[in-house]
Amino acid sequence: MKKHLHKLYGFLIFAFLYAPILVMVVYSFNGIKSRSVFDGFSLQWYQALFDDRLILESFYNSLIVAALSALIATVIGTFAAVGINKMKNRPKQAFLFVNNIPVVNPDIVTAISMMILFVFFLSVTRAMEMGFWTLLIAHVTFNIPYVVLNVLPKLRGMDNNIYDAALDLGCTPIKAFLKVVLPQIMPGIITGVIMSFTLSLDDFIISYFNSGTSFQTLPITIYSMTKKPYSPKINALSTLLFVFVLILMLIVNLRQSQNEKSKNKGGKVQATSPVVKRVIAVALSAVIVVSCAFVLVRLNSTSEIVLNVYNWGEYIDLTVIDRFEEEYGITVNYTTFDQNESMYTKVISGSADYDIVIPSDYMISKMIEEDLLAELDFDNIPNYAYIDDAYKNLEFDPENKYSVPYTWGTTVIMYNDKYVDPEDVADKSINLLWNEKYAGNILMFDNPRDVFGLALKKSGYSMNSLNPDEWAQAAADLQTQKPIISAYVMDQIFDKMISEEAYIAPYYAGDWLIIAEENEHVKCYIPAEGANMFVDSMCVLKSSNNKEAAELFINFMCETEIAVLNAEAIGYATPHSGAMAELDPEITGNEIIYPDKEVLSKTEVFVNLPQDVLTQQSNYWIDLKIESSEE
Amino acid sequence: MKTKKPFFSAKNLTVAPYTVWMTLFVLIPIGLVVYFAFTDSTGSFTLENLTYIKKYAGTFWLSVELAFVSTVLCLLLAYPMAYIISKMPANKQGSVILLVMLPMWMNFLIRTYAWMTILENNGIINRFIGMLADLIHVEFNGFEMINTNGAIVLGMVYNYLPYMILPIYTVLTKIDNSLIEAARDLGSDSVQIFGRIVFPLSIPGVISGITMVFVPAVSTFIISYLLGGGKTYLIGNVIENYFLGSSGAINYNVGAALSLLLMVMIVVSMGIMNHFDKDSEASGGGIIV
Repeated sequence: MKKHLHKLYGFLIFAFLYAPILVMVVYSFNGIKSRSVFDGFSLQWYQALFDDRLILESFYNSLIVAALSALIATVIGTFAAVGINKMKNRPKQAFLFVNNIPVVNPDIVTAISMMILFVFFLSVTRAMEMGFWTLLIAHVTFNIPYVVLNVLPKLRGMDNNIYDAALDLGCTPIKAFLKVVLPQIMPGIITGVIMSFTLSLDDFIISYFNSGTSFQTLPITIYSMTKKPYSPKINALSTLLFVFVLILMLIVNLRQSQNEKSKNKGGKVQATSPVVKRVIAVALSAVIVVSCAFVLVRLNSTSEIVLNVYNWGEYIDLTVIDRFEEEYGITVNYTTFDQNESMYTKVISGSADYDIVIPSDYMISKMIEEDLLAELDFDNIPNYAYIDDAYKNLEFDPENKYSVPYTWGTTVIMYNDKYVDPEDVADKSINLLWNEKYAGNILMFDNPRDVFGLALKKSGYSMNSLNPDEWAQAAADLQTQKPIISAYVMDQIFDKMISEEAYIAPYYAGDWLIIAEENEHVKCYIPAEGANMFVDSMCVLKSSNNKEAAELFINFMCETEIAVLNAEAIGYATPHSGAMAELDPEITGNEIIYPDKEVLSKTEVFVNLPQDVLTQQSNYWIDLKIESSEE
Repeated sequence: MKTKKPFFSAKNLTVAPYTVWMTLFVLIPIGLVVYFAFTDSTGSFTLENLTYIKKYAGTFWLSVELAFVSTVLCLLLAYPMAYIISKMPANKQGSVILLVMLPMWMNFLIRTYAWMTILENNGIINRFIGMLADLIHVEFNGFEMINTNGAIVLGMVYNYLPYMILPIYTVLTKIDNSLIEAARDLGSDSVQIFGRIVFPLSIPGVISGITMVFVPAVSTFIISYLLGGGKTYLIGNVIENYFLGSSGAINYNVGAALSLLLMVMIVVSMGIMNHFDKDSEASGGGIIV
């Protein structure tokens, strides 16, 4: 009876632990691009995964950082443990206290404290940039304490007489350490390696703050897919990884039970069986060797031109990059961000390393103001001629010296006509988002600029208002709206609208097409009060050392064939006249994606707000988010 | 009897890289956090940041509350599990523990996304119950699970449960069986054995488990963002906002003040907890897998 109870309990816990894994695996075979609706079996995401170099590269980066940081932390930590073990009580306590700081400190505090250090240090010395090295240092730092904590008890449990005996018998201290001490503390060291590796592989928070832009790990890639729908490619990758680890475990188990049979049973209980550990250790050392090779290559390859491109997540046809590399022999290091603001923070904190960024309008004017962008040499970008004049010389870059438009669009309000009454949408108003009839089924953006833009426009104010009273009213309106909002989200809008989890949501015009393709009931309109028109443009950073290569890249992106590929992959409107002519007329004729002049005349492009208004916005935004916490 | 040893003894040499590393990347950064917390944007001393963050008292409290509930739930779920594993045949324990750890090798964002799929209004649970309800002709409007504080707690429990199981399990396997046999010989029943021997001896593991669950839970900003529908800011979200400027304004000073407060709170609560843990050296060992 008791035994069955045990089994049942164990089963329930494992069901809990593995339920999401099962969901993840199942949805990796989804026929459509959705996280919540399953439609037909398909292997397309596995195919797509191997075509997606960004995901593969960042996965590879994750493995490298995990292996290297585990290795370095183990060496430093093991030696430290040996030394600490021999200390007298006082200094020992002091060391253990410091050792516990990264363990006990919240990740976010560790992350920001190191970020401050790096920003501080890098801005003074300009010796290097946020990227691979800062990330590695951060990971080593949070791994070391775990190694010490794992090795120390093994040292404590060791009989010192054996070591002394070895010395008496003529061993040198080093030899005695290697032959006598090391084998005894080996289990602790291996556990330390495994733990470090696992922690490092799964870390998001510390990496998010310390990675810079030139080197990105898998969690950051996943997180940056916020503007575009979540891709089951990630599920496919995780499923493969899961199957791989599972097979590894089964093999180990098999070998182990064979070993067990040949050995006589009994003996001490061990935390993790030595065979399991050995196999994992072998696997890890293989990864470590590969990553050391990687670092050597990285150190030696400085002469070659590497172009760092920093773009929104899922905002390019990735084959374009391969084609560029093939054609020009320039390596492209492509990384992604989730928000204009986080991109900006990364750029000002790291500097020096990036070449091309693709921010939105208001961020571009901010960066121009702060002298972060380089003036482009348009002689190197002849394809600029293809850009429609309507998108040149816009307010954020009045003389169009710094940017080449990449995509544009407006915000729209989507609704599901199954649930939303026709009379409520007849006036095409922003007020639909405030309609209490649909309480609990309305979504909002999760970025302050878009949210406040809508709220300001709702009262007939400019989205770029500088009037504090207008802002106060917008903030108050948003507070009254909050109770009827289901969630403030970005990429989740796709899934939630498709699965009819929500009926009403604002989003970007091009994305509505993707949603409407999956759910024909989702309709949309450009708000009559006026909407935001955004232009995301390619810019070169002033700090870039490869300005000409960067211009070459921009020019390449403006080739008609390439612009068509990108427009089709992203779904947003293209400013490229050549691409317009080649795209499906059904898309270019769509008046939501390509609205006519009259509608456009009412739209507003965001401009950079002065710092005091931004601070105000930030305060209102945080207040909006924390207020309901008291419910 | 003090004998002065040269500074560069072999002992000091082995600790030297560690000392340098930890000073550079742990102590100095924390010093910088403190510095930023007590200065304004021009670098002059001020207490304004600390008074300013009073407005986040509610958020702070909510974070602690959710993390506390998650930690208690983790403990209640994990202890029996750790106990059961420790009573398994020795050759099976390693594999079972690896099975507990295995989900942690899957990216935690993906696991959290999967929970969204499960918990949504049209998610797996609601659709399944809806189907059952249809069969017996009962009206079912679906549970509201996603975008609630409950969902945040579930996400925390799920993500951090292995961190609770592992240290408790480790400590339980180290308990000398002869103690239990002796108690049994002397006439104790299993409740007494558990209450007077097993549990007290496992306290170091429980404490490191609590630390390893509570600390990340109280400071998370991802779980609250993904499962809370972006409606509930926890203290981690506020800090993230100030440092990455995601809402438009970067303010290291206020962000550092919040981090400092978080740090102090955790150090204090750890101090209180270690009070219950008499053998503090062993608690260090409790974290070991």
